[in-house]
Amino acid sequence: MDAETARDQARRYLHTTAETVRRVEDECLNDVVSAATLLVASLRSGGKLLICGNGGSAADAQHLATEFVSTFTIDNLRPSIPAIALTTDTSLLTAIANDFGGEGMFERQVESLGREGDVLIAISTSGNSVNVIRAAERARTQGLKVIALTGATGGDLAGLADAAVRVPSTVTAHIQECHLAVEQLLASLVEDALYPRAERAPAKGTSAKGTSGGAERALPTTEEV
Amino acid sequence: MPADPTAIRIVAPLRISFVGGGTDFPHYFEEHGGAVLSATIDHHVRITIFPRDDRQVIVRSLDLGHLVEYHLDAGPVYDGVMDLAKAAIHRIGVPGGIEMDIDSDAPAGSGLGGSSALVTGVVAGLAMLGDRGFDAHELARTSYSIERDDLGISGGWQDQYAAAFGGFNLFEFSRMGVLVSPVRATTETLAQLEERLMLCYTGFVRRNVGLIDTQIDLYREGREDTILGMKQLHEIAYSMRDALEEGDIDELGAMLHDAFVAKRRMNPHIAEHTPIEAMLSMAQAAGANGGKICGAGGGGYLLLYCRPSAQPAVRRELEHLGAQFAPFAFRVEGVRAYRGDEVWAPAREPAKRG
Repeated sequence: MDAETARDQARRYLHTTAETVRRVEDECLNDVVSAATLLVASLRSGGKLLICGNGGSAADAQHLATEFVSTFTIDNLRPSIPAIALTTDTSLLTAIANDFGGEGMFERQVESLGREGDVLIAISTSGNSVNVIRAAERARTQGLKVIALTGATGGDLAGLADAAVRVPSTVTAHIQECHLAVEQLLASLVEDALYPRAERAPAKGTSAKGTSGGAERALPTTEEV
Repeated sequence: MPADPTAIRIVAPLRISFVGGGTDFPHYFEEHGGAVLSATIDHHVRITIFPRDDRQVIVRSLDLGHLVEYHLDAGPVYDGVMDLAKAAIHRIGVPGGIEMDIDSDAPAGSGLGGSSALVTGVVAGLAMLGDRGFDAHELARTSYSIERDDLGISGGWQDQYAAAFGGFNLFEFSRMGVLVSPVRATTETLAQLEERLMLCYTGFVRRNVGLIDTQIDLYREGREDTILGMKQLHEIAYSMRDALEEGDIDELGAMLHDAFVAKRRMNPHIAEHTPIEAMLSMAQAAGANGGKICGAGGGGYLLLYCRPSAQPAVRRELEHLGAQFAPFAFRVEGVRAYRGDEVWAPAREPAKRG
């Protein structure tokens, strides 16, 4: 491949990436806010987040759990937010695959870890990954809320979700790029809603003292509107 | 950022009530008449409505973590989550599905009239969506009826009127209706007042402890102090209005204190289990001339009158107790709804007299 062809290919690719991101902005914002609201609701009442996906989406699951447990923005020190990627423990994953088949690898973990009021974030570009769908079904029967990140069609997964962000593309690579953007965005929205920065006081729905910074801040409790 | 051209954005102002809350309840004013002096401020309830292609209704509050979704034809279920918005949607009606985001500058139950501003705002937004006009009285009455009749929440009339009319007003309540008189204070007086008032969040809000129902019961039982307290509140509303119109704002600190004493006389439970009394006396010891609790009590915001020279000390003392100060300015406009370049506002003169 000559350099000019490579540049053309790169340009076309990045244009499509940019166009897909722009279409997410046009078409998915309300669903992103709904998803963030479900996360805030769960975390305020003591819930936790379980996250799953295959391949690149497995990497996303780990990345997103990290944003919550560690921190999204280093200048906003806040308490750790409980989130677990269901994709990380090879002993457990190989055991389940061996004993129950690969299709149960997330379902089995939702069964043991999922509690009513938790949220499962299920990531699948096709929306048809069987192991992810089975996790979502199990989550629903156990009283978890389900957030689905999918591509344009949504697959069967979107229909199982309380909030679904369908990236308006059918190309796996571009869907995944947008999933990453949406995941970072969710981390940012949830962090700001739960732990508003000091200048935005008084925080809504809080009983916090407000002025103290850092990890002493208590998780705000829910107030009815 | 390109905005959705079909989205309707609504801004409904919160208010600070100087005196008279309680005399705006029908069981009282239908017998004795009532009056409230209040001003809307630049703290708001913000609502955005997006029309949908289907018949789903989604109501969200991101900060509070509330998400409600139902099919329009199934109707809402009143379960304590976003009930005010659901009831307003049900009463006013929508042509199809909608998504609604709600965000308030003040926590629920904190005494700045947020619940009624929310309802008034939703009604205004849906009026714009349905291409309907309301005059300000009609808007306030409709919002009142949604809260009190459709949802059975006890309360008075003042907040819906404050949000619908906006500005610095004396509201007079009687069996004949509600009379709205803008306070004719000079810009100078209002600027001076703004400078001397401090709005301070106590750090916690009223739980559903039935303060409003207790107050109604005390009145119905014929408790003498309750009735005397209410009469005093009614009178102070007029004297405070007169002081403002005469530019005699130094009287105001003392009057605010009188208003608090009269309010506690009306309902001795308003400051129970809260550090409010301690905060008020500490503020006075540090140089504030007076202050009162906003709303029905139990927490929420305090309004203090204090010369600028004493404000840093008052602030320091109260922040020590967990209070947070919220800068504010008076806002002249009542509720407004916007879509692109269009603005929806309630008509100030009745559209038609019934």
